[in-house]
Amino acid sequence: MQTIMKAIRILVVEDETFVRMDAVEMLREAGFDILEAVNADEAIRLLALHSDIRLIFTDIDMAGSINGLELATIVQKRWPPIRIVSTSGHYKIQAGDLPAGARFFFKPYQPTQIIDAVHELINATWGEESH
Amino acid sequence: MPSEPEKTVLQTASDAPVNPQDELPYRRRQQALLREFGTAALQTRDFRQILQNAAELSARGLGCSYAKVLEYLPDDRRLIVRAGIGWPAGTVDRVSLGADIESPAGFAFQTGQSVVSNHLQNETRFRTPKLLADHGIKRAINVLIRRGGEGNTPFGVLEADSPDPGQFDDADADFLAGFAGLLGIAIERQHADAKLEEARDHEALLTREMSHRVKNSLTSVVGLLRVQARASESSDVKNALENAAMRVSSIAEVHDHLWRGSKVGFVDLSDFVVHLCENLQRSAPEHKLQYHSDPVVISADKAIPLGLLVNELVTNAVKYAYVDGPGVIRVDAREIDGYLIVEISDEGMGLPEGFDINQPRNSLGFRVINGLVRQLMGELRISKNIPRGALFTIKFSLDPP
Repeated sequence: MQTIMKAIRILVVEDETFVRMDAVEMLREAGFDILEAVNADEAIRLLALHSDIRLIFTDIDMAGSINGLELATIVQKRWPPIRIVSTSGHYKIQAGDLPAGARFFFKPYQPTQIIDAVHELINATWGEESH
Repeated sequence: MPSEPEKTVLQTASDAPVNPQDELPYRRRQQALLREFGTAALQTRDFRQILQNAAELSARGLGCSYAKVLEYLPDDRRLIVRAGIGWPAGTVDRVSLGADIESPAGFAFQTGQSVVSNHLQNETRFRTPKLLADHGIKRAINVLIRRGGEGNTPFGVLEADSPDPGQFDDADADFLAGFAGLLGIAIERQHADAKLEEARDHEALLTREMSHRVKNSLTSVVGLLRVQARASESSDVKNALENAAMRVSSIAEVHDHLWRGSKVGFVDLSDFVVHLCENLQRSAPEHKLQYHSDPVVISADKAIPLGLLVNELVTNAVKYAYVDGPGVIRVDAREIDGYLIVEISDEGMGLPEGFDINQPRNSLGFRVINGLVRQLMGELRISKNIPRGALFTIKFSLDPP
């Protein structure tokens, strides 16, 4: 499936080390180019630095000045083309918490759930990029 | 009960005393009203309703057209009308009186003495509050409403007012003090209810918080196991670590359900089975997973091993039941006579002839299954599914909830 092409860049935001390592590796295995941040503040710095990030995969419950929901809102305002996938172990997501089009998954998630959602969102936004 | 309050009779009554022939029915009526109020206060937990009942019934007992319950506001040092009868709309929660010793209500509040005042317009010690003057109130009784419990500021004052000539006497003040006493108990009960509610909310919060933390930690462990699985060169080790991640993940999921139900430490099995099977379906999209569960509430002690069992048996069926192509896997949980019967079946190739789950050389998967069944103090039956495939039946007693 993967051919020689520039990999799509995804930003993973997660404060729990093992959970972040797992997320980064599973998306890397799926052929994506990954940047990682341990909180929303670091994520915003990386987003400002790298204009080629196409999607963020973010935890909701994180320490730092803002949580994942606020991060999602900022991303939608400042970088509207960037797609959002979010996750939480216990946050009960309500309608309107996340920008329209964002996806949500409860932890512990199955790697396939996330990878499928990422593919769908990226294909829907930028079309099928790999052949 | 509050101690017998002292009475201060101001302006000794100069009017004719109540006709002794009318006295007895009058007092009996007061007693009946006190009983009526006591019963009503026990039956409702609506605080406003209790205050309103107190105002109405005490007015009736004293044959007067005005009465009110005043609550003391410590910040403003005023007594605000919380319930009443006879007063115009907009009085309750808006009009307040000074709580200083210069007003009859303030005097009762500050000293704890019942105040009978039969000629307010001639009163020299008190100024007549505007609310009373506006309604032509000529006489009043004010009694303190104490709160149960030690060291508490009194709640406020119960006041009965009349614009008609006549007089209140000591027995009337006792009657009103009886109301105030019952009110104090009702107020204290209300207070205790609120505290209990608060404690319950706090307990629920703690349970949720603990459950969140446990789940977070388990989720981290799942992540770690997956990372280690990827790092491993050996496919055996990789598989073992992936299986471990799967098992820990199914324990973590129970914690989602622990605090959702109304009963702490219990899980709605049908919610849990649906959630678990949806996840299993996602990790095996090629097969069709069908599931059903009766709406049974089971303890977390049972739900955790049961979740693991379903996870093991379904994963097993996914791996071994169908060698060529997709198939159906069923999970079915029913409650029958205090037992939970869970069947996991497939329509695949079936188990090999002479298969014995108790053979010590069997796989870790079956050792885990046996261990979990024992933990549930249940039994496992393995049989041929009709028309084909394998059928695993787990049966265990549901503890009396």
